[in-house]
Amino acid sequence: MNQVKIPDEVLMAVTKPARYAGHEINMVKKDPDEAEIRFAFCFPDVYEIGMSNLGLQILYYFLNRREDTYCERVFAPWGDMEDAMRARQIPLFSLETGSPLRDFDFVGFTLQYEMCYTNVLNMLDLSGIALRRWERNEDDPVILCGGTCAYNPEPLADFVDVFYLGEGEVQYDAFLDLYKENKRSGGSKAQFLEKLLALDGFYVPQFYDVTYHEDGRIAAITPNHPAARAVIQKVAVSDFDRSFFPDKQLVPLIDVVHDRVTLEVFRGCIRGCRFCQAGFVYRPVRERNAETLVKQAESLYDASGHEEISLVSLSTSDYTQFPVLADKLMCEFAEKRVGLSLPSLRIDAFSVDLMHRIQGVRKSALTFAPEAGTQRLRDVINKNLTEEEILSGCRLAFEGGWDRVKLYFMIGLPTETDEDLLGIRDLTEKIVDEYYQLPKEQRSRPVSITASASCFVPKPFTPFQWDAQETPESFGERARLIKRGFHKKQIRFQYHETQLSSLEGVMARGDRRLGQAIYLAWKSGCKFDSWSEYFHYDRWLAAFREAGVDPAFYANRKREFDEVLPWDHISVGVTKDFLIRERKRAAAALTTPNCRQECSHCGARRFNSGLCRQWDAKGGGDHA
Amino acid sequence: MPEKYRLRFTKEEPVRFLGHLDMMRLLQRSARRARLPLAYSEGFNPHPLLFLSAPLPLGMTSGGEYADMELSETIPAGEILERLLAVLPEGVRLLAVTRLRPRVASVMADVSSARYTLLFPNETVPELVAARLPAFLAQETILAEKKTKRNLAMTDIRPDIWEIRPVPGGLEMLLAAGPERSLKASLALAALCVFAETSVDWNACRCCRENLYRRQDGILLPLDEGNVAEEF
Repeated sequence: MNQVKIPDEVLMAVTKPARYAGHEINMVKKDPDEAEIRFAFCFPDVYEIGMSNLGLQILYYFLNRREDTYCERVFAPWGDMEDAMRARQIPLFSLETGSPLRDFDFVGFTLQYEMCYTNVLNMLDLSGIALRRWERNEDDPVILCGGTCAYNPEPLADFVDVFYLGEGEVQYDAFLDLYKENKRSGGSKAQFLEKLLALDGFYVPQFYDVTYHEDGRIAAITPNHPAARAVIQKVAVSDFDRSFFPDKQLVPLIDVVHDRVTLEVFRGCIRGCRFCQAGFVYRPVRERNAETLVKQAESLYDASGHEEISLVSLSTSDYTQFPVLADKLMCEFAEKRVGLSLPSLRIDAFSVDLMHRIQGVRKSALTFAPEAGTQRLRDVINKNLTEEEILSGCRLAFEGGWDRVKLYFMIGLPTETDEDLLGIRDLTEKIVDEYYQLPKEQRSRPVSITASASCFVPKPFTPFQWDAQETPESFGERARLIKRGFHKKQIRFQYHETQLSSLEGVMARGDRRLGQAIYLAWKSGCKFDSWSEYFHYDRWLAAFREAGVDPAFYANRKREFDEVLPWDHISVGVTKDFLIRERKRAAAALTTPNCRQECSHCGARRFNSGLCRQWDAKGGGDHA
Repeated sequence: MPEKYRLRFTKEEPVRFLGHLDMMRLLQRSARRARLPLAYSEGFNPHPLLFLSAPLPLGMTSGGEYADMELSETIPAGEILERLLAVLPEGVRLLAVTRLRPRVASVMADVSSARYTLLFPNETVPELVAARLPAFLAQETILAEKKTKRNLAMTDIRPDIWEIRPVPGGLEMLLAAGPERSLKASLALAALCVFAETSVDWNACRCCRENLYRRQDGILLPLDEGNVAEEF
């Protein structure tokens, strides 16, 4: 077994050397020479970010439960470590055994956000693996990508051999069995990739050609192999309650962003907020039972010793068994001094009361996400939250002792006007007024409201996927308009990252032609793009120029409904027809009810699981 | 009945880059995994009553780390040892668990000195240094720049050097440690190198803090021995 050794002087000189040490609690130890399949799970960001990712925890144990497979972890080395490695020609290595990535059968990246793409290239380069898939040979590992951004795989199509579309628990066993069988029968890597065409959920870019019109729009995305499907549908777990969940988790030994027992209560979302990609791509809505979750909590607590349990989902208040689960967890864990962390809660009487009961809770800020400043614009984006709900929620929170509120908004939303922007100010000021309605005795401290505005990025598989994003200059103007409007000293308004959001706008709806631009950006030194110390907007602009790519074509152009989109050969269940209907409703500021109130025939019913089944039972008919 | 115990453990290669707070968290979580009933402080933000002794510089290994742990019930020390041994991560070896007598000095306050072994990265330096060692130690004062609360100041470090002797490949040092006086091993080495007119890259050396000592009736004892132990 090859083992990479980092010299002492290097470890002593870099920041947070423990990032590279491994040996966490519950780290899986196998003999790499005994494993028939070696899988390198790569998170294209630094250790502290990657170790907070729930997907990594699930897949790590899912893959390692197979006797024939050893899955090890790799994170992007920070700049100082990378410099030292390059100077000494030390290749990128896995944490578990210190093995160079070239020794693995699979090098798999999880793509959680678009601005990690240069890190993907950088990690391949640091491993001595050729970047372009056609430059690699039999000895090179299979380069694989999964995660949310894989649903528009095209910008990385030049660099990746295969994309896994969907939830990891569904197809990895079939995938690895196929690989093993192919290897044992003497098949080549090329033959393996071809055999993959028969499996659901895998996109192998080499078997698809893209042609373009004169004006730059895509003409067609065509399979060039008889077995390649015209449309590849994602895979989703059918019975989420019974699907694989690890009974232990990796416990980092240093501080990471999220460091607690994490329970996934449901997948998908009933709301259908029109800007939100996650809500659509993770449909259908599938819940776990409260008993199952409590058992998982017990097992994970025993294996980790964590001080906090967190419930995650896209909208935890919508979990039908939320009161039951919260109660059971509090009863069981309160005496063990384990706290509950509940992000993504709707602020109502129930949740405020729950926050009170959670032991040891310091009154941190309460968070709301109105997203838009006026009811009209909230209706356009289908964010079902009225001003009265926001104000009464704040009232409850203030009465309960909270004096800090955080509000999330977006600027640059479709149909946005100055009135909507100033609505952000109006709403925020009404909240301050609400606080001062309290009797003086209940107001021991001044209230502190932070309104935070991020820049809207249109995403694939949402009703806004045809919209033009605002330019960075326009974002700046809008933010300044809002900022000028604030006069109350209790309010802090912040906006940020207009340039980064613009780049995200290019990548999110990019096609294969972006590959060259990403390569050139990386070559000119871009990496860790979502970190301010490494973000170089000018280098990106130069890379686009040199690649002959116009970023505005991707970000700032309004598409017609009949245009071929770069991800049209991928299906997440939700249909284009539905998205078009939703976009038209948005234009008229009409809201769409949530999945529990009515089935809007988004197309997720084709998976025949979760919440959709209740509509089948009611005889809702099938319009999709 | 709340009970206090002193743990003695090592900090070895796999965990040598963990900081003080990391080690506290590691012990707390290990105690939970071992189902030990940790006692908590009162007040708004209760925390487990688990305290580590003198912080170790990052990168240094240790043969004798100490932590005081208070439990809300009395559990035999041997059982605590067994339960923790089963859950501690690689690189942290639990050597002893001692039930403490009431009202002993805390594990941070009771420290008086520390023993280090230092291994040099190459061969030539040990000879140079060993040759000059007796003369170095014969000095009445040794001035070195030491960090005080506000800035650097020239301080006499001779009283903080209790012993230095050569060992194969390096040195063994017994230096002052604890709340009143303490001397960093890196500073002691730096002063010695200046005197011997040579230089060593501290980052290339391997240093291990072998043990921490307390003073009882003029003799040095490891932190969990002597009249702090319940059985004494």
